Amino acid sequence: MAIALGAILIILAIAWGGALIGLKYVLGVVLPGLALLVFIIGFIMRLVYWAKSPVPFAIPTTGGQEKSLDWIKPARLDCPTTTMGLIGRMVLEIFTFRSLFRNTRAVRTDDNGTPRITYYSSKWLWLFALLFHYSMLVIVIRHARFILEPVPFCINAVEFLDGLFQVGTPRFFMSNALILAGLGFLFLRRVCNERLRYLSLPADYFALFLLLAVVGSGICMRYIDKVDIAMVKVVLMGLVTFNLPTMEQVSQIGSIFFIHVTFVSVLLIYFPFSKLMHMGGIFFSPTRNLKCNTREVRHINPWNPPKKFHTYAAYEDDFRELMVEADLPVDKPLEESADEEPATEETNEKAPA
Amino acid sequence: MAKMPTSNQLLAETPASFPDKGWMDIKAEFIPGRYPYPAKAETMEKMGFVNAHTWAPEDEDWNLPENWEEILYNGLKERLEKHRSLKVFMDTCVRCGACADKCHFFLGTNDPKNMPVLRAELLRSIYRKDFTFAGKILGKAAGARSVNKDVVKELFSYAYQCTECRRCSLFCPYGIDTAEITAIVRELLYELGLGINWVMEPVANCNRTGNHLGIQPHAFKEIVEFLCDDIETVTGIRINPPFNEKGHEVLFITPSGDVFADPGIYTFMGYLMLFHEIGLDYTLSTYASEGGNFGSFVSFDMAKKLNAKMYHEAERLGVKWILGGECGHMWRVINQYMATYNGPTPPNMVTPVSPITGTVFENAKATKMVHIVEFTADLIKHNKLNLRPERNDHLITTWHDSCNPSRAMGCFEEPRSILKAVCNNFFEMPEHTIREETFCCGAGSGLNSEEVMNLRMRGGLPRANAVRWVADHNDVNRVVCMCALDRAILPPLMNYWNPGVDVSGLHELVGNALIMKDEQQPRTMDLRQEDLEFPDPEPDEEAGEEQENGGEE
Amino acid sequence: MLFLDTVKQNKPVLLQKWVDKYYAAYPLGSTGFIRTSTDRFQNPIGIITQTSLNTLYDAVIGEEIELSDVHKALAELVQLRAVQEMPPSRAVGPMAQLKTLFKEEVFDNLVKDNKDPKVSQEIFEEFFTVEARIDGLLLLSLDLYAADREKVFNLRVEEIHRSQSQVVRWAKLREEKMSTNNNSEE
Repeated sequence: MAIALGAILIILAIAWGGALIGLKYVLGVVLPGLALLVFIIGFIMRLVYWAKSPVPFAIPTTGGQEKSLDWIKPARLDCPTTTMGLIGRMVLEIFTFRSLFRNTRAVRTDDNGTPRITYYSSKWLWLFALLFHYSMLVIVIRHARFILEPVPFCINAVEFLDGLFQVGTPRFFMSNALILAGLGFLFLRRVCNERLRYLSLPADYFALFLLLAVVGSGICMRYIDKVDIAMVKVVLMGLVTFNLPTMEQVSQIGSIFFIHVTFVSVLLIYFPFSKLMHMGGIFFSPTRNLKCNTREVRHINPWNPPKKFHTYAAYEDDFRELMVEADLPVDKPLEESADEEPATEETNEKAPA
Repeated sequence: MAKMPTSNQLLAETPASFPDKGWMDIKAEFIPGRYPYPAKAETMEKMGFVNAHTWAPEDEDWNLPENWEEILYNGLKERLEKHRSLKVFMDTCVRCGACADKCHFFLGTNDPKNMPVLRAELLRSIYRKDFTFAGKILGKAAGARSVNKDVVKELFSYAYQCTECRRCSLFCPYGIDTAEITAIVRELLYELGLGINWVMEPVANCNRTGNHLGIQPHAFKEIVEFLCDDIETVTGIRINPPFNEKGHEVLFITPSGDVFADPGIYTFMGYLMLFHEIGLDYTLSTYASEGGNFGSFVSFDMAKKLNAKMYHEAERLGVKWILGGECGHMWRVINQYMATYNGPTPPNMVTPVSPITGTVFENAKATKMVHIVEFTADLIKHNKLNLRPERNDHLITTWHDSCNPSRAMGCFEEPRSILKAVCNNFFEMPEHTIREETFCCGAGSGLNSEEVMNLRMRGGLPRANAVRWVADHNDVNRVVCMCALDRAILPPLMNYWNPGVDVSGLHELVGNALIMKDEQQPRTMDLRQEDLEFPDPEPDEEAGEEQENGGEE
Repeated sequence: MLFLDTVKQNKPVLLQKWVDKYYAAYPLGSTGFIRTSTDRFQNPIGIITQTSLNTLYDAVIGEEIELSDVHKALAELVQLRAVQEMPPSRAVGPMAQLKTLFKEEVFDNLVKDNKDPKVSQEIFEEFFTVEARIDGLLLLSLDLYAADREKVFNLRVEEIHRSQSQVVRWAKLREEKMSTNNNSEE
């Protein structure tokens, strides 16, 4: 944890220091540009890296009744045999974290005659994980206003809903509070739960701190140390349209912006090389993204090795006398086989395509 | 006076928390009762493992081959290139810990490295060091570590404290499947010449003789005939099952444990009685007499090698389809791997059709292999069997969902429909311990050797505990299951935790309840040749008895 | 009744401390988990330990409890410990630590605070009675522990028999046949 916190502080120092000594252009234009490039290329490369390995076997985890006899109702989502069912399973997995939801259980305890229901922390894990990810999504969508002109209606709509409470100026966004709550829970859970603390790596804390730093600096910029939003938009628009902003434009923006941008850049760079790639990984998970019809349709293994096994002929050669004695039918009678070469131990058939 | 240690000193407390040291700094311990015995070098050599050697888990030096680091590195590299699952499972874990308390070994042993996430992390840390950018430059800070001989020992220890039951994969938000990781770790260990005897011996036997004990064909046949003698004793009917005969419609394959081991034999007797009663045109095979695939506990290739015998024999005998007996990992292989390994099926095979009911098993179109509970459930649904569940009235049953038919197949309703038809007393174990969330018997995937009995008792505790609940509340005295390993593993588990609760295969109860057409005398004992508590009424009283029963209802 | 009343009143605290003594024996005790999870089926070790010790505590301080219930609680507790790879002393030993707990947490204070010899006498007597009961349970644990270990070894033997019962049957029959054949030849 100390390592992770240290790393975040170093990044903060670099960003702040850099902004103060006039490296604003580097931090505000060059770094994010590079980071975006690393993110996109890195992300794609990781997907390609995964995709390069084949899926030799269909190993879906069946979470419900199989489709067998027509009077038994199959679990269409948990044991999908149709494409629709499979899409349903994946969509629910990705948008509602369904497997994690399974975790939740209400335990009924009897407290001196009054039944009580206790919920597990795992339910909280599902809830806060969902809160965090959806807030993150809303925030990313909101930020699209900085790189789109005119701002599309849908983004305004998201923003309107997000700020529905109409509290404060600038308007308070729910997503900001929720993402903090989500991250806070995930962090506290890691620290307070003995089990989790034991298995956590520095990387786990680093990812949490980094996200907290991104959110924190963003909130700071919006509510406390405000910056020239119009100029931020000019700079960012310039960046994405390859119409690079001038040094002068960049230097008009306050330091906090550069801290925020640096953290975001680090996040983008870090993303493809870390566990954050679970965002892409879920689509590739063979226990979820394959149909449970493995006896109905043959799954092809591209590297299926040739068949190599102990054949019946070799087996019979081995035991013919005993088999004949026991009245077991044999392919070759005893007298015939006597003068033949024994069958080879194993066949080495060509694998069928 | 001599200084005696006080009881408090003797029981000096260890800190009541996780160890101070990180898990990477704690070496695996090998104490008797926790590790399975190693495979014999000659057996491994015979099965083609080049680095087979003699070693002992408690020794300091495991006599690893000289270039063991290279073997491990290349082995992992090759498997990453072969399995997308491995790459994705290595990269995507966020260590949310949702899996931690889902593992019966963690619940039973409280060893942190038995949390599925840490079990996988053992391999992940090596992967990061050798195959990721961050791991290469940041080392331990990125969760990477280089291998040394202690790491190999650790891998061995924890790969054999996992039964590949996949309960964790059900709850993982990314579907990370520890069974896949364990299987690959075991493959790597086999490449280093580290195998276990309880798996390797059956593998070699199944390969050569067709059954896990290495029983030769004539003896196999004679043993089946013993069981037919027993059936005759109980029912008065002589059954002569065909062996290795060509030209039948169906080849029946079941785990050979059902032929050799109590209480599996009663299940086997149930199969034979059922086939006789419905007049199924089938044959047994002595060559392919092992349904349970011990190779799947070794490597994918070994599983393929043993599995190939089934289609080979089906082709030679010219059968139309294969009927498979009650077994767990056998069905993991058949349901998810068989068609891929050894398909397409021989040309003589067709989509299975029940000759009795005409039901077409479309779900087995490619593999052409039907699970016997699907087959029997269909028979019962179509009223093709004459059953007297009262013969099982002395049993109060519960159903244990075996891991593989549950989480790698989804076979839940079929066995329950059969059980309810053949037994009047059935109680489910509590929610979250059954169906897809079922707890493992604690010793699957090659861990049911007697030397790890302590470990098995711990790993099986969550299952036994749920059985205890129904034993206490509903007086359950019989756990019914459809897995040959369960039939071997659950009896000692029950005997230890829940004395008085016994174990049966599903078709044992079917055999008990089945009223056979040519049955001359009323049945007075069950397949175990124990007196029935509620024996069949004498033929002349039958009419009156039935009326009485009807009146009660 | 001063001593017995005090241990009865302070049962929640004392019981928890006693339970902790049991948990402490798990070498890599993920005791946080054992403590917090309240689901009978997700946390068998924790729940069995807690419920058993709850019963035994009452038995020790002389509450009305069926002897069979006491025996059952003790058996379940010991059974749990007998397969946990800990030395026997550690498996059943925490039973004795209840004495220490009672002495340090209750008895010593009561004796210190009470000057009335009659009351003191009563406190001593009560404490000794409780101690004797704990000793009884400890001895009983020893029996149970040994029986459980014996059982595990029996299971191992039985399993070998079971796993090849029919092969043995076959071999025996073979042997008989051979010997009768030999006899007839002679």
